[in-house]
Amino acid sequence: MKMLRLRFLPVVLLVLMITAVSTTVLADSDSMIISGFGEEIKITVAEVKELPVIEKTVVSVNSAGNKKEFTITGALLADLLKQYGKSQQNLKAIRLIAGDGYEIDVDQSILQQRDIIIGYLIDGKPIKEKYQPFRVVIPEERAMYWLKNLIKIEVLDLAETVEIDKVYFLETAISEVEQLDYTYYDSVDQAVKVAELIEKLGISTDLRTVRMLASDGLDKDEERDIFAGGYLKISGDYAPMFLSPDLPKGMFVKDLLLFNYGQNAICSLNNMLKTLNQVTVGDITGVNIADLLSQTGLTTAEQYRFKAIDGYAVEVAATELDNGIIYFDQKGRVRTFFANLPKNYSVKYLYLIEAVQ
Amino acid sequence: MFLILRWKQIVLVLIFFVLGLGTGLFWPGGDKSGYIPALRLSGDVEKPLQVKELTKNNLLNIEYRDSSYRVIRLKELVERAIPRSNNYELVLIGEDGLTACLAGTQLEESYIYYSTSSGWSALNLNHPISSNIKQLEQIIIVSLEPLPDRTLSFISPNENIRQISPGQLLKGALTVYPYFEGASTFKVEGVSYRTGIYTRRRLVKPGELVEREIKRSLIIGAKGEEILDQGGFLELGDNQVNYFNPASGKGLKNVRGIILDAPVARNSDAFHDALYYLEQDQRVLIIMLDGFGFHQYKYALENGYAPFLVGTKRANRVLSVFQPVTNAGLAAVLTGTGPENNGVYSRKQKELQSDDIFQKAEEMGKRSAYIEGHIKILNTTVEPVLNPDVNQNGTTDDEIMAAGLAAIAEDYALLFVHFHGIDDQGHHSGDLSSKTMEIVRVTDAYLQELVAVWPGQVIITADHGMHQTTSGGSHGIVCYQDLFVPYLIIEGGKQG
Repeated sequence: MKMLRLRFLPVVLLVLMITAVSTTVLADSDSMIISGFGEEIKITVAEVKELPVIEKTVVSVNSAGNKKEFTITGALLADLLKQYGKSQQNLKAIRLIAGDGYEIDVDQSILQQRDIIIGYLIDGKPIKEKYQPFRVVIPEERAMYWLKNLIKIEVLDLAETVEIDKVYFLETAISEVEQLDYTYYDSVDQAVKVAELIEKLGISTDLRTVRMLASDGLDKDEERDIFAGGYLKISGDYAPMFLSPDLPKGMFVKDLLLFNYGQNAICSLNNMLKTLNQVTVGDITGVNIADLLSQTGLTTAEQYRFKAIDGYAVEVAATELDNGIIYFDQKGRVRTFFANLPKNYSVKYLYLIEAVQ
Repeated sequence: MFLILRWKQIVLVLIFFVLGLGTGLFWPGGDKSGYIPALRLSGDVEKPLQVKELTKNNLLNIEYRDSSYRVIRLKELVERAIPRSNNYELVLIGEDGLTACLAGTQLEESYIYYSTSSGWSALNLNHPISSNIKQLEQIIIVSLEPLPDRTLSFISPNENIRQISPGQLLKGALTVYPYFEGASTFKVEGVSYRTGIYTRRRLVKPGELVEREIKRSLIIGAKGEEILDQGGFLELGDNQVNYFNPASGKGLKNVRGIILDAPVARNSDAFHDALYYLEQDQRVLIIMLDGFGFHQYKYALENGYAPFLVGTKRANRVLSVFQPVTNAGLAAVLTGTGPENNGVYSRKQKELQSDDIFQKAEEMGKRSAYIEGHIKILNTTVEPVLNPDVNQNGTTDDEIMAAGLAAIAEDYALLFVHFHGIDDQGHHSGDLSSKTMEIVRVTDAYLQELVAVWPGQVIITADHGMHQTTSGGSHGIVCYQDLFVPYLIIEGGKQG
């Protein structure tokens, strides 16, 4: 009897070992799910293979400090999201979920700074079956983020979409701020400190960056602190121009059309007049208000408040914007004109247009 | 029957063994004592090592105080990591912090061994017994001579403050900063088990290394990347220094230089200034003096080698780019951007990844010309007019000058002239040698003539500077002589 037991011991061990190896949960799917955008999106391996191919040799470091170099082939999450009209930059946090229960949250700093590779080949070969359908690699981040057997991406939080709700007119606003001499090449122009302008406008933002849009189409994000430390040159060549004696010339922005500071757009009517189609009604030539608001991104309200610098304000229905003009009157004041509205809707020293909630 | 069964058993055991090999259950030759900690060799080496086992064929048997040891020569281990200098010292650091420093030249009877009782240990037969560090955690190789192309250099616009190698940094006092890497979760039967992960990073504030308060410093990477320091740390890798800012999460790998009080003005301003003048319908002549550092300009002015320049307004001291070599400096001047944007950070790159000033002139409908020496350096929008040393007088500058004068007669809106003589002579005899200064004198006369006849703005600058070496001059490292150059705008057509 004892002999018989010993005789079958290797068989038992073999069976036990094979069983142990095969207890790992094997992913049998060739797809993953992205959730958090409304309806869940099913992403297949074939679909990811259609995207621009990224191949990167990376080194993973495990918790014991052991390094392993391999080449991952796949697509960028950013490119994948683009297919669905989404942007990685607009994500605040995502959760990567593996088939074995492992989860890791990826925060905004990683989402904004790193490439996230959704891989389907390792060293040129298909991913091991148990790690399919995808292997995530985030170069520069630790291996805890390099998820195997990715089956789901949950969008936990979207960065707040910056919806513009106020449009300020620079030409009016600067009258409230101290103007300084600024030497630019051979001319002495006028400039205002950005920080003072922002303080006077009473605007704030949690965003780290400020968007500047120039008349020539240049669309540039600048760090908020750097922007706030600079100047706006408001006369002479290229005005309004963002610049500073403390910044390299390569960071200057000429002929600003507008800048976005959080939910506020501060625009130059001068450059709007040069950029947008001008309309003439009688002896008034200016820009169509609907066009201007469309350029600034203030478009969703049904009612808008037009405010002068002295506090005078009128409210105008969105349907009337197409019949309105913003222009410089003969005294150089920013002013409105509405073809179908009474004269008191002509706001002089127009300072602000805001959405009426 | 019994024999047959035994054979079956043997076959099964063999299958079991082979499968076991595949799944890592057996490891022939592996240490049966279990986990062996890694012994790290780092510092001023090309290949940092993590030693986890000693291969048997390198082991020696030695007797010491009535005991036998299986050891490897320390020298052999160090050489595997490839020290960056032949003149180095070793810093042996134990787990308890006990540290011993040994000269790299005195390792003939120094050994390393592993035992389950005291981990990795040093056995230095010729050294005092206190050098025999137990539970060795790390061996740092520290170069005892300068490693100009491998060190982290602190400079200001007029001073080379300190050079420090990764080994020297690793040897020094460091702050251990627990950096939160993230949190992961494992779900078991609906219950989430969460783990926070931190890395203990070895950091040092840049200001602590130079014992001064740093207000504005520019961190420079090996590929010319730049980042303005905003309260970040230097982080020590095994054989390089990285920059890391926990607040922003931003960093830069392989930092090569830190420029204190870095000026805003750059030689790349030439692009922006030229663009401004072209937009104002003024003609622009950019003259680039290869290898002419600000300190050379200053020396030439003070010692009578530049009678024309001494009569003009003083040049600004501006920063070029890393590496301070012709390709990178020229690319910065032509594109108004640094290596991160234009893609040129060493002598190896020729393609510009951002528009050059010739492209901008073309977009404005303006004609431009580029007068170069005998070699094309970058692929530019306008093909350079190359000028070999036709008269064989040892310099192409006279040919460049003649080509420049000819181009001025052609009525170009933008003309770029690149002189090479100062750089050539600087390499041969040194940055401030009388021979180099004589070339400065010749170039100064060329400048006077060109400025006199050019009907527009003249921008004079350099791609990089030059520092003294034992055999002449060189450039390409982080030092103020290489990185700071003069920058001057003169209105032409009025002088001489």
